[in-house]
Amino acid sequence: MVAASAKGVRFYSEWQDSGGRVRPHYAGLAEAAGGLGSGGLAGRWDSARRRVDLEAVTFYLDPGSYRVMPTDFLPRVIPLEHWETIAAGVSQRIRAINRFLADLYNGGQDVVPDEVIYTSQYFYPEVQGFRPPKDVFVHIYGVDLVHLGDGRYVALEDNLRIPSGISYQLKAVGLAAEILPEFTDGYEILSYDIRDSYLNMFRSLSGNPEPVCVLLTDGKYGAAFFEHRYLSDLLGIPLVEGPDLYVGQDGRVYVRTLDRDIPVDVIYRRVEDLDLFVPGLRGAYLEGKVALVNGIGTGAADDKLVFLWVPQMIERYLGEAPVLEQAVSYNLADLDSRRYVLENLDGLVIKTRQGYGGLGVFVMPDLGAAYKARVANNILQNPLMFIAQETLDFSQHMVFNEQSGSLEPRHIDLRVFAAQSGDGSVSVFPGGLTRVALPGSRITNNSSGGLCKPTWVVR
Amino acid sequence: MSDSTDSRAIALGANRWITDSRVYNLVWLGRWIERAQTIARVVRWAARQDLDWGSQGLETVLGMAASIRGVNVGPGDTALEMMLTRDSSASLRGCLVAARFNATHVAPVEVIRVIGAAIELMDAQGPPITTPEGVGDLMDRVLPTLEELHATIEEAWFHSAPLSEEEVYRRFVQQQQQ
Repeated sequence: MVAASAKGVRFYSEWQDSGGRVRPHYAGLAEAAGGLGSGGLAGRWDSARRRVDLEAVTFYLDPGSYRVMPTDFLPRVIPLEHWETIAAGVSQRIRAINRFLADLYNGGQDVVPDEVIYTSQYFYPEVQGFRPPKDVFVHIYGVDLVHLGDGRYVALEDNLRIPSGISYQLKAVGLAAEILPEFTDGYEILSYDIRDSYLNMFRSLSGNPEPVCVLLTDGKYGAAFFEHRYLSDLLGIPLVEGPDLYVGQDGRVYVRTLDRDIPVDVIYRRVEDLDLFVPGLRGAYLEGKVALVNGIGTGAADDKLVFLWVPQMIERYLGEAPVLEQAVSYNLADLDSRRYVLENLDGLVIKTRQGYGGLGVFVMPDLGAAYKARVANNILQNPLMFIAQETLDFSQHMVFNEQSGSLEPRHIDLRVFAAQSGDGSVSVFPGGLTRVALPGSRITNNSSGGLCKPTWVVR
Repeated sequence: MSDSTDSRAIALGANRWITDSRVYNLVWLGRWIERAQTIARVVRWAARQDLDWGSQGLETVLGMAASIRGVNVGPGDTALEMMLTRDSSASLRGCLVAARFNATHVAPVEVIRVIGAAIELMDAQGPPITTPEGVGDLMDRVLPTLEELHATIEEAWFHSAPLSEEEVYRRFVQQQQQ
């Protein structure tokens, strides 16, 4: 099997060093893949794809149009020493962000300038004065990291509203182990159980030791519906749609069942517009009648401009130096920054503040002159709508190309998931969802057509 | 939240509560599967009736069958395509696709898998089949898959592993409390 050589390539390769030698933690995988050969790998990929198709491991880009999650089954391997840094950094970020949100909505924060907060689409004034159970707003957290090489992981953005992807991570790892068992030979892979972490977190948010929990979905045509169903099954909590829930006369939220209507303690919500799905749900939450995972108002810290101040949050609230670096970013409302950005567009990524799923992300070095001019014009017209980040030459990983039968490098990132319980404890789930960009692109989001890949943390 | 009157909680399991959305998806899952089977049987019947007449005859018979089912075959359309593969709820494939969406909400993965296998059979055809023999052969493969679906549903929903004594007792106590 042919692997593209790393010689002369400017991006860090996870798979091999600059001399084209397979890195030690990939030696076992390279041997197993070589043993199977192109034909063997193609056959296994075919089996895996059929499983994904038949079991409806879907990620819809177009509602009503069946589409499975494109997956490359060659695992990404993260050495334990790298993971320890990642986990410490992720834990630090979620704790600091939660402290910031509690401060923000209770009148005390002075880390982020007011004009930034008040221009954030997801800052909800009605949440001011509200304290969620145990003061935790963000219970399930996802952060997008890129690897610049040699254990240097850099945060690109935080996902605090409805972080999506953990089921694809679990499914990809499980399928790879079943369909490519020889790949795991010689590896000690860190395993973990999200079920207990999630259920303990739900319990910690409710005074009831056996809380009634449901997962609120936007329905079977929603992009990540597979994840909703998967987590509902895994956690053993009912999957409900908006019309299944209502707010009763006593202000509590009830789920309608054929037996009777049952009061709900915790809603793991996977929808953004709560009142659109369940009229009155927002009010019920703010009156403390029901716990929401994640809470309302978390998007204020999810804003890509607020992201600039996360290191200061860590220093202020935890009294620690940030463990993880984050991409150098610019506030375009600042005149000097704006001037710098407009003069140096070629080396920057421009993002809309509230964009997600790869929408509103412009990797300027990859764009043509006309497109660049349009983006520059938009920045001048609405500087508060955008942020700029330095373009990072982040790592690439081999992907098996079934057509050519060879391994090809593609850019990858890593979405790491963590949960914070009501008692303040944080679980960071080893591995994460590795997302793979399409050829010639650095945008890895699944909503933009990117693939996913199983990820192992190995001792 | 400490005054919750329902102790069934997490341990009760996701599939025990029959919510409105579960009922909706169950009903439609059944309807789409039934509709898919009916279409497959009608098409197979037409293909067998028609063996001596050739493709033109098959199209005529299917056109009448489509008409009886309320499906309008417009100019430029063929009844065979409308009944088999057209991206609409009038076709066999369309019914299976719709059934799969409902199944992803409510059915065990075994059921989803069999529906997927039936769709796969339809998609595995190369160029569109037009001969009565080809159509009959395809239906001879699709119909047993749909029959397997019934067995799978029966097995997955009604013959799951027996409950432990502890679980039976726990449910009994809960029932009494209600």
